[in-house]
Amino acid sequence: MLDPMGMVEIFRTQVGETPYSKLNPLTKFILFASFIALPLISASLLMQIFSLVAQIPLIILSRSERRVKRSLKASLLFIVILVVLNYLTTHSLEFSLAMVLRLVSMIIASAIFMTGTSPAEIGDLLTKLRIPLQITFSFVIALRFIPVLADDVVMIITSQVSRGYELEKGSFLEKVKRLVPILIPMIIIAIRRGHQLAEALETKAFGATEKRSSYVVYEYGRGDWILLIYAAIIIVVGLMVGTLTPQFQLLPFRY
Amino acid sequence: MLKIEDVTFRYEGSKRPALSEVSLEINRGEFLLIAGLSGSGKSTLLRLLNGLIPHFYRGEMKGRVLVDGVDTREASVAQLSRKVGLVFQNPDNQIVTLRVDREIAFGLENLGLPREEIIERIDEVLKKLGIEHLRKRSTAELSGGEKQLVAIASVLAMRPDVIVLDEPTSELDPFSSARIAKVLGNLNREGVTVIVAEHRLDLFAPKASRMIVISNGRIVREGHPRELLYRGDISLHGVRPPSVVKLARKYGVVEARPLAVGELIVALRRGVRIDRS
Repeated sequence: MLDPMGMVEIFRTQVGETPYSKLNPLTKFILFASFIALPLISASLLMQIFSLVAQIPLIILSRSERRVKRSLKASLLFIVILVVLNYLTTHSLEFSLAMVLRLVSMIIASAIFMTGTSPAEIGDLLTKLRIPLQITFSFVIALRFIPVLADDVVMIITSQVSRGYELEKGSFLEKVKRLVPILIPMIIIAIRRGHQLAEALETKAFGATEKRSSYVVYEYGRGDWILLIYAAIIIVVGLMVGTLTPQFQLLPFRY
Repeated sequence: MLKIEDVTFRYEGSKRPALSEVSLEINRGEFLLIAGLSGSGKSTLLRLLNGLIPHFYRGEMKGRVLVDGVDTREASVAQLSRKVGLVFQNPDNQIVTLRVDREIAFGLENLGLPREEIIERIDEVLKKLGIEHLRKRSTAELSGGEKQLVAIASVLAMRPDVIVLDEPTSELDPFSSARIAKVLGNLNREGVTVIVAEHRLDLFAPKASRMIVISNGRIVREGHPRELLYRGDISLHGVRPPSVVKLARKYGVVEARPLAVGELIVALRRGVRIDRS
């Protein structure tokens, strides 16, 4: 069954207070982008090990060991498939291993970013990256309405079920068809909510001025500078590992 | 300061006009209670006041609405929002951000106010409504009553001269409703003009300085709630009179014309003979 309440859990704005979560969102994003880019610099096994090890300080700072473990567990099947496919096509265990580690370090980078950054911060970040307000605002609004619509779904399901509607009956195709009486009221409610939301936005002068001011301001602390320098060093070292020392590239078939 | 002059409005796609030849003047400092059944035209009347009609809703409009002498057709909803703040029925559909302080800041950001002033105004409205403890809370975690208070706060922060509320308590429990009524009473005492549309009169009749009843798109009654509710005929075009009024009639203390429970008790204590027949 659906677990709308579990979905709500993800969108709590109170992110646990960790040294990482207190960073400027832009710093977090730059770190995230660096650690996504790093394993892509080269396909060598050494490169992948380096990018994994380089993330250890961030895991500690964001106290996201559990989330990292959970994310890895969730993608285990995917990882296995990747190993098998890579081995079948290249017959190089080393290369397959490198590809898996590449994936793992990207998963870790995302897990760290997602645990330590609140949705509101992501919205602000998008604004800072000069993405138009309409788009960033739609993003924030979508997050805002997930719990509301989740409540609506629960309400519709319970009211249909309590009137004797059997949701989970029959074959797969029938089950899908049986969702229609849930979906139609859901869509109608969503449209109605959207209309009222538009009215509320009008009355709050949304789009009234060209230059919107900003209440939330993020500052750059010492931690931000240290980690930005760290990201720069990692990338430079990564480039050296990846390009300047061909003898270290443990990837025979490239030559 | 608000003037509705002979307005008739018909929504696009509807045959009957939602409002017919309505004229109404609202003065600074008033607490106006608008009563009427659902579909009587209450919400339409409120939407006229901040320009949602004719800017947001399509339809056919006759007559004109003046806000501080400005025709609402000549001004945008955004401009009017500085003068007339509108709070809607369902708090969930008007909260647009993820945190309380950001929600209050939202309208001010849209107006392009400097950050220092935004912070100052947030402090002010949170204090005024007694919800300082909610400041950093996630809007999704609030109770219905708290959400409505935040919605009111976010409108108040824009410092409108008039605050208009469309059935603000219809989604709330009695305790939260009473709190909203109290907050509105306090605001009115501080000089804010308050306009409330409600069909539950118990909470708002004692606080209102004037009351109108709307039925089928027309204003059918107008006066001080004390006079209106104790006038000879009980029928208010389907609107249920407050329980206090019913009890006052039942126990024969009509001449005291109580509206609040306290007034009823005082009237009964004054030795008016209780006639239980």
